[in-house]
Parts: sequence; structure tokens; C-alpha cells
Amino acid sequence: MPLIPSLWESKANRSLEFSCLRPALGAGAGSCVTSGGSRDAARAGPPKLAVCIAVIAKENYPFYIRSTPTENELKFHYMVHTSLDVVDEKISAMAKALVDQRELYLDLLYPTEDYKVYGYVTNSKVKFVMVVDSSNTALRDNEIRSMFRKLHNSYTDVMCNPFYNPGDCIQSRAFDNMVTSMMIQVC
Amino acid sequence: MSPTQWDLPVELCCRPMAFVTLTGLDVVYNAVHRAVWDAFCANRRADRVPISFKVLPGDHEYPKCRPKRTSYEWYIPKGILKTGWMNKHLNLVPALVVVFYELDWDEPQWKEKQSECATRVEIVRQSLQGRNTKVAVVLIQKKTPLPPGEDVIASERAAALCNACELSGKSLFVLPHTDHLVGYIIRLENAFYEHAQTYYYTEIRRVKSHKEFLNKTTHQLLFVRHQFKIAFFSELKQDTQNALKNYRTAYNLVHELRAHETNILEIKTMAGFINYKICRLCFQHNTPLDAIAQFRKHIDLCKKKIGSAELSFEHAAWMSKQFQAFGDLFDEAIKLGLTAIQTQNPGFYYQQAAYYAQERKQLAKSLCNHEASIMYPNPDPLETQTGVLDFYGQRSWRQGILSFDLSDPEKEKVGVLAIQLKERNVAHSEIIITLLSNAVAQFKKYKCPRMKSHLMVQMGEEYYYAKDYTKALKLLDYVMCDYRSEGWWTLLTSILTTALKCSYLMAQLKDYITYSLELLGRASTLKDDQKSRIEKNLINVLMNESPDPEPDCDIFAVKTAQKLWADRISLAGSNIFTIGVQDFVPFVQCKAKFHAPSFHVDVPVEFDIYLKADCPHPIRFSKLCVSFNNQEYNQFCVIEEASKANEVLENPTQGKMCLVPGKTRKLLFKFVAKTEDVGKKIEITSVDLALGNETGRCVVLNWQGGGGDAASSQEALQAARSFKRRPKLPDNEVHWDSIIIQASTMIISRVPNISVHLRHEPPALTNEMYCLVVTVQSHEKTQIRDVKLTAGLKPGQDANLTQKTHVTLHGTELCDESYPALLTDIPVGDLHPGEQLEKMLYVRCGTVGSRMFLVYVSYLINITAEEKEIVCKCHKDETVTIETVFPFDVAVKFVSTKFEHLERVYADIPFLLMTDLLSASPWALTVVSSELQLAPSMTTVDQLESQVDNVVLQTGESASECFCLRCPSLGNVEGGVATGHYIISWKRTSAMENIPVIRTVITLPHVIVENIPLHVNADLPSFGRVRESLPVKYHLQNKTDFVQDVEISVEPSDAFMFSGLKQVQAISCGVYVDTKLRPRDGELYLWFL
Repeated sequence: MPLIPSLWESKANRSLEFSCLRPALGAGAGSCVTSGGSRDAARAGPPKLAVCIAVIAKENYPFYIRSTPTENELKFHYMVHTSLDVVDEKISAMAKALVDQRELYLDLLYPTEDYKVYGYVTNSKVKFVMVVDSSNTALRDNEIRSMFRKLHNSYTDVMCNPFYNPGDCIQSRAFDNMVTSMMIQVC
Repeated sequence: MSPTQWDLPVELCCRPMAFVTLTGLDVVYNAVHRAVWDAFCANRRADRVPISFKVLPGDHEYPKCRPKRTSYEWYIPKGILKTGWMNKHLNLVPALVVVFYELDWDEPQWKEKQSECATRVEIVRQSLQGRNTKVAVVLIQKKTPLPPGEDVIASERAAALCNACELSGKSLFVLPHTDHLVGYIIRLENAFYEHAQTYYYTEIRRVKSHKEFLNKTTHQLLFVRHQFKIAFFSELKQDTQNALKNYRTAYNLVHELRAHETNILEIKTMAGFINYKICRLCFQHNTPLDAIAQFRKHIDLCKKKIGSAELSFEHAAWMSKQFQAFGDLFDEAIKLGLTAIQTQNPGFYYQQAAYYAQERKQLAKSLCNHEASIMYPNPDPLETQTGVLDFYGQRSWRQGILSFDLSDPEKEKVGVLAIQLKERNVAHSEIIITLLSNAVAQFKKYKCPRMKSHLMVQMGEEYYYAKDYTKALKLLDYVMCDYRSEGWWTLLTSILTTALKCSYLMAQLKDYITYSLELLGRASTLKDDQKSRIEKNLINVLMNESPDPEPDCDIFAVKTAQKLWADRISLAGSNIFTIGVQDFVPFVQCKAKFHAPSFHVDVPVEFDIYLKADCPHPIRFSKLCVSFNNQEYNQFCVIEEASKANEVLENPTQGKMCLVPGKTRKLLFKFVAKTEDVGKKIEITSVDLALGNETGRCVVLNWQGGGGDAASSQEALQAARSFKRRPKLPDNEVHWDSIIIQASTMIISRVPNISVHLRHEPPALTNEMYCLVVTVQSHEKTQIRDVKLTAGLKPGQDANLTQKTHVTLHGTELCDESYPALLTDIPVGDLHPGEQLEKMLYVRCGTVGSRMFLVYVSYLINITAEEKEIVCKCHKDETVTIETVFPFDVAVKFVSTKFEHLERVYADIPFLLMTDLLSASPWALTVVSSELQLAPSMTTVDQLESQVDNVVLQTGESASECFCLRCPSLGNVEGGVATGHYIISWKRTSAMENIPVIRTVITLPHVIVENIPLHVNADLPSFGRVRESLPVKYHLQNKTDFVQDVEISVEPSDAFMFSGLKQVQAISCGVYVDTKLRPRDGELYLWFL
């Protein structure tokens, strides 16, 4: 059973023709995903800047949260959680604006001494939160936007997976790879 | 060094004001002087000029002025800013000294007084040697002065006095001691203020003039110092714009200084001071963004200037203070009207200050962990001769030494040691907690509940480190629910772990158990080994033993805790803890589910309790009880498993009450509902599950309603949304998620086992006694008792129907208005199995239309359910809709004696009334009789006998009658004349003998009566014979009161021969009496041939 969902996750595989899919089924999921992942990494991709990326459900519980393993994980959990205060506030301010003028990108949520926290909210009120190292001053707004957009696309793919159960935590290797590609690389 | 070493000095934080001293005032013994002083200093409002006044004796010694330096060439400064400098210019060196002197212009001893005043001024001047301080003289006078120019003596003497005192005319003031004291004082102080500003202006010029002598190599420090002084004097002059400009320059200069480990503290201290001033002025100028930008710049510049690694906690302390000070400034500005926003409020600065304070604590902990044997150095290297430092930010053991090399490494070592040992005594946690609580207060204000919670967690953790476990628990417990309700399990687990430690260290049994329960539960993200450990501890506690200490606890605290736990064991007292689970997520889940949404009273109520444990090892519970809204059932739903205390973990898979992790355990309960509860809801109000037993300690987990804890509603929602197919399980197992709580059920009455039949012949006829035969037959196995019948109009229909429907059991008499529409609870008696009874009901419907009738039979029966005899009340009802129709239609018409239709009748002329009865009933009707009741205005011509007695009418058949009537002349009646009533007595042909006859009264129509002048009545034989004469008689009647001329002509037809008069001239009489008795008419006889 786990074979088919993992196929679904991989963008590369989805573009394959059906005839190609058959042998892939037999070949096993693991190999498919790695090939897809490496292809993703091979592209220039978004800048690898984030130290923590989180997806938060409409009800504000975490779907997915990953931070650089070198630092205290709990700290980032708290950081993401507290940033929801600002997200909530921004969403409620946005609700007053016209629907078609809605901007998904929420901009910088709040700066701390060491990090910058950015937010993004989908139309179904799923939030993406990204923590970036403050020292990285070269980072432009556009880059953050494009990172969020990629994240959103990848998330949409997860949601499109018929084997994904809405509301469950995200356990997708394709999504994992996408997130990894945005995180600061730890050597 | 004091613990407040990092606090900014007061003289830096205050608002600088021009300093003016007042001399010659005796405020203690002289009432006038006192009043003057009070007017100066009491109730100073914001609109008064900013001056700080001080009363000093005339011979006060002001700080000595150092001799002017003529050249800076060989001068090497020893530091940036002297510690006493700001205070000196705020509180010691005045801008202006005022000499008060009581002297009136007309003073008789003017000469003596004048010279005394001059002496006083001279003394003041002496003590201000070398300073630019201004001197002014105020003469306190008893008399009100004349307008200027009028008092010749005054102007003369004033000039003389100025001369004597070497004063300019602008520095001599007169203060008349009159009613308008405050007004005079305000004018005076405005004048003083001008003098003070001039003084500070000259001071600024003086400092600036030094600049040209300085060179960049040796006098770097002086650049900063002078710039700071200029800015400070500008502030004293209340020229905040220039002050800000100069502070900014000074700030840049500070960072241009060559920094080295030896002077970095001094540089940071000064940078901090100047930064504080800049931010303060920016807020004052209402440019908060400038303040924030400056602060950010300041922090970015200084963040990395840590200095000596051995004293790195000092940097953290300094950083913390910078943030705190900025937070304070920000907060102050907000109090003065600035608006802050969610993402930019003082809370962030307090929070950051707290982080640095935490860092300071960490650093101090690692750097100051000297062994106890190391003594504080003697002599104290931190002591100075004067008790204070000469320059801000320098080390006490090498003050004024500018060399970057450490001349005396030994001394340095001792100094560092002294600082480290001092740092050890700092109450770090207290500082952190204060800062955090400041931040909490701010975030609360700016709608940041999660940030607030996060800070409270940190406060709680800090209290934990400070060993104040009670406060720690209080805070942690308070915020736990926020994280629980939002489902942040990682964070919750972390908080719970700390809370568990706190409760362990305090040996708080109930808290310890509660946190353990949750840490073992599904919301906990702990690893299995940790869970195992906690589970083991929990079981130990339940067996009245001490748990193992939590990891990473302070060793001394653990020792105290172990003693506390030992005490708890020996302590007698309540060892049963009831814990409500609705507020947390324990490791056992419970769901109650009734098998059906309703149960018949004669079958046992059945429900399942599902239990599931999430802990790592199997666990045995001792008791499960279920409580209901009707507490009488509680006794039937208890499972108790007697086990010894030590068996909690043994024989894990045996017994009903032993839960294997991850497996769902189903426990079936059944009980017989009480008959009183028929129609009521039985609800599970709580489920109690006991762990441990009374001999040791016992925890009772209490679920409200049918189970579910803080997380289960979300899980249920999730499960409902899910379309994941669950793998197949063995038959006796169920998926936990698929169990839906059903915590209540209805008790409904037993299904009746009787039949109720209704026999009748619809439709009902209006007003008839309609017969409804009810047949009840028992199909029960035993005798049924107390059979009762309720029958009649079904309630809840149109209210008018109730008025027009009557029900009775007795068909022999007609029912009237007093009969009810519904007969209730008619006792019918008992019925044996198979027996049948019949009951006749009579319904009388007054109006047509359809009605619903209800027949409801109830009875009692004894039933044995679950070996219990219960009396069940059963009932069965039947409804029937019956249409009511008119039995017949009656048509009435008026015709003449010749059966010609009449629109109206003529007075006194006989006419015929014809009735026509058309049966509309589908059943045969028997017209028993009919009757015509005439109105008084009508008279009958012949007998009014019924012509339709005992006529049987089938559907569509009709019965007609004819009555000959006459209506006497009544004059003209509007709307016609009442005719009377036609009464028909009838019944169904099929009805029994004893059923009463129904009388239907029909009101006959009104008829219009008309008077006519002449009436002709032909009296013809009914037949004639050929060739025989046929006598024809015409009666002519004059109906008027007058004589009428009548001409009669007869025109024979061809079929008749005619004899007699052809033409008659008749003269009628004037009075009409009776046509028959007094005929005044002509008669004609005709003969037929």
C-alpha cells in the first residue's frame, strides 16, 4: 500500500507517462522518490536560508514543523507558536479587506534579536511560517515570497494526494525534500 | 560594586533643569522668606520654567574650579567621563546665585544696608571664583513699588546699589511682599531662567573653545567628553534639538575610540549612556521610529563587543540593561500618549532583556563555579579610596590607566576573581522573572496571548530554577491548557515535564499523579523509555512508595524531596484522589456507548464501556463505576476486581480490568430500567475508573458524560472527516476511532401485544349519533389488567371542532353540548389471553368536514425481565379520520294553485309550499315524520299533515310534500315575510331501534307578499262532457277600498259554444269585506254545445 502514495508525492513521477509508471510500481517506492528528490535539488531552487519551516492548521495546531537540527527544537516551536498571534491579527485585519484583494503573503511577522519570522496564509487559513536568521540581510522580500509559493505548491500536492487524510500531520517525502531544499544546510 | 552596577545613574535618567541657588532666605524662622520659598518650589506646574531651585546659605562653598589649562599639549585624559560630572552640574554648580536681601527704598539706614548687601554679594562671588555663574540680587520690600520713573529716590538708590554690588541693572530685582506674591515670583523666575540660559550658553562656548587645542591621537577621549558636555549643557539650556545633535555626534565618536579588552567596558558604558539620552530625546520629540532605529544601531554595534571572556556575563548584564532601559523609555512614552502596536511594543525589549539576563545567568554559572575554598580576595580589589570610581566604566584596580597592556597581571586576576565571586551572589532568577513579568504585562496589552503564554512558561521555568516550585507550578498549570487546546503537544510535553519535576520535588501527590497520567498519554511526545520510567514511578506512588527522582534535578532538592516523600508515606490521611479528565489528556481513554438510542422498558438496557490505554505497559485497574442521572442504576454498573496492591503489573493479560496498551477493551453492562423512567432519558453522567486500591493510594479518573477528554473532540472530528479505510480486525475487536460516544438513551414503553379494531360506516351524517365499534383483543400470553380506553376527537385539531363534536358511550339518548369531545380512561376491566371485547361509541358531529378520532387503549401487564418481575404499562392507539356530510338536501319552492312558479305571493290568495327532500347519504335514510311549523303570519288553507311518514330514501331519492297556505295582507314588509320551519325527523334505516330519531329543523325562506287590486278566480269543473254544458264560474274580487269600474269581456274559443252575457258593466262597492260572503261581482255562465 505505501507504494502508491509515495509515487503521488513525487512530482517527477507524476509527469511520467502511465506506461512508465508500471515498472516504477514494481521497482519500489524508495528509488522513485530519491530520483525525484535529487532532480529537485539539481535545480537552482530557492535560497537555502530558513532555519525553521512550519505548516499550521486552520485550528492552529501544527501539521508540520521542522527546524535545523543544530539548535534547540523547542525554541523554534515556541517561536512559531507565538508568531501565530501576529498571524491571527493580520488575518482578522485582512478579513475586512475585499476578498479578491487578499494577499496570501503576510510579510515579516516580527523580528527577534536573532531571527526574522515570516508568514503566509492560504485561502483555507492554513498558515506557513518561516524563520530566517536575522544576520542574513541579503535576503530580499521577493525571495521569501517565492519560497512561500513553492511551499504552497508542494503543500497543495500533498493535499491532492488521495491517500492523505485531511487534518493529519504531513508525512510526505516530497514535501520533506522541498523543505530541506529551503533550509540552511548543516554540514 | 553594588548589584545595581548596571543600573543607569539617576543623574543620567532625570530631565536636566537649570540649577539656581537662592541665598539669604531664612526658610526656617522667617515667615516671609518661607512664603517666598514656597512660592518658588511648591506646586510647580508643567507650564513653569524648568529650573531646579535650592536654598543655600550665603557663605556656601561651591565646588572649586580647577585652574584653567592653558595648553592641552601634555595633557593625557584618564577616562571619558568623570562619575561626578553630571551631578555637579545638576546639583552643585549653579547657573545663577540669587542673593535675597530685605531692603526698602525709603530705608532710613540706607548706607549701612547697602554696604551689607554689597558684602553679601561679594562673599558669593568669592566662593564662585573662576566660574561663570551669574549673581543676582532680589530686594524683598514691604511696600508696593510705584510705577517706574515716578519714584525718583528708588531709581537713584537702585543705581547706587548696583554700583556698590558691581551688578548690572538687569540683575537687580525687587520683590514686594504683597498679595500678588506668586505673580511676582513667576516673573522673577522667568528672569532667572534667562540668566541661566545665558550661563549655559557661555558654558557651551567655553567647552567648544577647547576643541582647537585637541589632537586626534592623544585626546580621543576628550572629543567624546566635550561633545557629551556640550550636549548635556544644551539639555540644561532646554535646547533639546541641539542636545540630540550633539549626543549623536558623541555617540559616533565613542565608537571611533580604539577598543581593547581593557577599555571596552568604559566604551560600552558611555555608549549606553549616550544611546539612552538619544532615545530619550527622540521619544520626547515624538519621533519613536528614530529612537527605535538608534537603539537597533546601538545594539548591532555593541552586540559583539563582549570584552573579556572571563567576564562575559558582564556583557550579557549590560545588554540586558540596554534592552530594559529602552523598554522603560518606550513604556514611559506610551504613558505620555504614544501608541504602540502588536509587533512593536515595549514587551519585545523586556523579553530580550530577559533573554540576556538568562544568558548572563548561564555564563555566570559556567564562569563562577569556583570551589568553596576560594576566598574573596583581601584587600578587596573592587574597593576604591572614595568608595566610587573616578570615571564611568573603569576597573577599580586600574583606574585611569589607559595602557592596553596589563601592567599587573596578578592584580588583574584578583580583580576578575572578585567580580566573578560577586556575580555568584546575584539573584539572577529574580532579575529574569521581573523582566519576564514586565514583558507579560506588555504582551497582554497588545493582543499577544501566545507570546504571553510563552513568557509565562519561561517564568515558570525560572521559578523552577530558583527553587520556588509552588510559583512555578502555578504558572505552568495556568498556561498548560492553552497549549493543550491548540494541540501543540511538543510544547505541552515540555511544560509537563517541568511541572512533573516541580511536583516531585514538592512531593505534591495529586499534581504528580495528574502530570504523570498526561505524560503517559497520547498527547505526550516523550520517548517510550521515559514513559516506562514515569509509569513505574506512578505505580510506585500508588503502592504507597516513593517514586524515583526525576532526571536533571538539583541534587540537594532531590534529597529534600525524598524526605518529603518518606513523610507522605507515614502520613495518614485521604489517599484517594479524584481527577477530572475533561481538562487534560490522560493515558486511558474511555467511551461509553448505549447499544441503541432507545430501549423498551421490558428489555434490559445495554451499553458498552470502551477503554484504551496508551501507556507503554499493561496496567490493571481496580474498579470501574458508571453514574447515571437516575442514581438508582449506579449500583448495577460497577466492576470491581479485588487484587492486591502489588498485582497492578502482574498477570497483565488476565482479568477484565487489565488494559493492554493500544488494545481496545470492551466492557458490557446491562440493567433493567425502572417503569417510572418510561419516556425519560437515561444519561451517563460520569464514568469513574480507579487505579490502585484503598490500602495504598487510589486514583479515580473521572470522565464527565460518556467519556472524552481535552483532546478527544478534535480527534472525533478528525476521525469523522477521515476517509481512510481501517484495516480489518478480528470480530471481537473494534477501532477506537470508529466508536462514537452515545451517552444517553430513551426508555420507551413496551410494545403492546393487543389489537384494536374500529368498525363503523362512514361517512357520518350531521347531528346523527354515529356509531363506532371498538374491538380490543388481547394477544398477550398472560392476563392483562386495568385496560382503559380513551376515545374521541384527537386533541390538537381545530378548536371549533371540539365545540361541535360530542362523544358518548350511550347511544339511546341524544347528546347535547354538555358532552365532551374526548372520553378519557374508561375502565374496561381485565382481559384474558385471546379474549376480545367490544365497546360502542357514539359520536355526534354538529358540522360537516373531516375529523380525526383517536382510540387509545392502555393496560398493565406483569413481565419478567432479567429475572425481575416488573409491571409494564403498554398502550396502543388507533386513529381514524371520519368525514361528516349532510344527510339530505331540502329544497323549498312556492307555487300558485295552478303549480306555477311564484316569485312572490299575493296577499290573501292561497298558494302552495312545496318541499323536496333529496337524500345525500350513501346509506338508506328513514324519514320518520315531518312537520311544518308555520310562522304566525301564515295561515293554512287545509290540514298540515305529514305526507312522508316512514318513507325510506335510498341515495339520490327524494320525498316531496305540498302544503296550501295563505298569507293575510300585512302591508309592505321589508325582506319578505317569515314562512316558518320545516322539521324532519329521521334516522338511518340501518340504525337500531333504540337509537333516537334526529330532528333536523329547516328554516323556510321568507316570501315577499304583495297586495293586488283585483283577483279573478276561475271555478272550473275538473272535466266536461261533450255536448253537455260546462258551467264556468269566475269570481272577481275587488281588493281595494274603493269602488272600481270593471269591464269584462269574454272571447270564446272555437271549441266552445257560448251563452250568457258577453259584456258586463259592474260597479263594485266601496268597502271590501269578504268576497265569499258579500260578493259584489258579476257572474258569467257559459254553455258548451
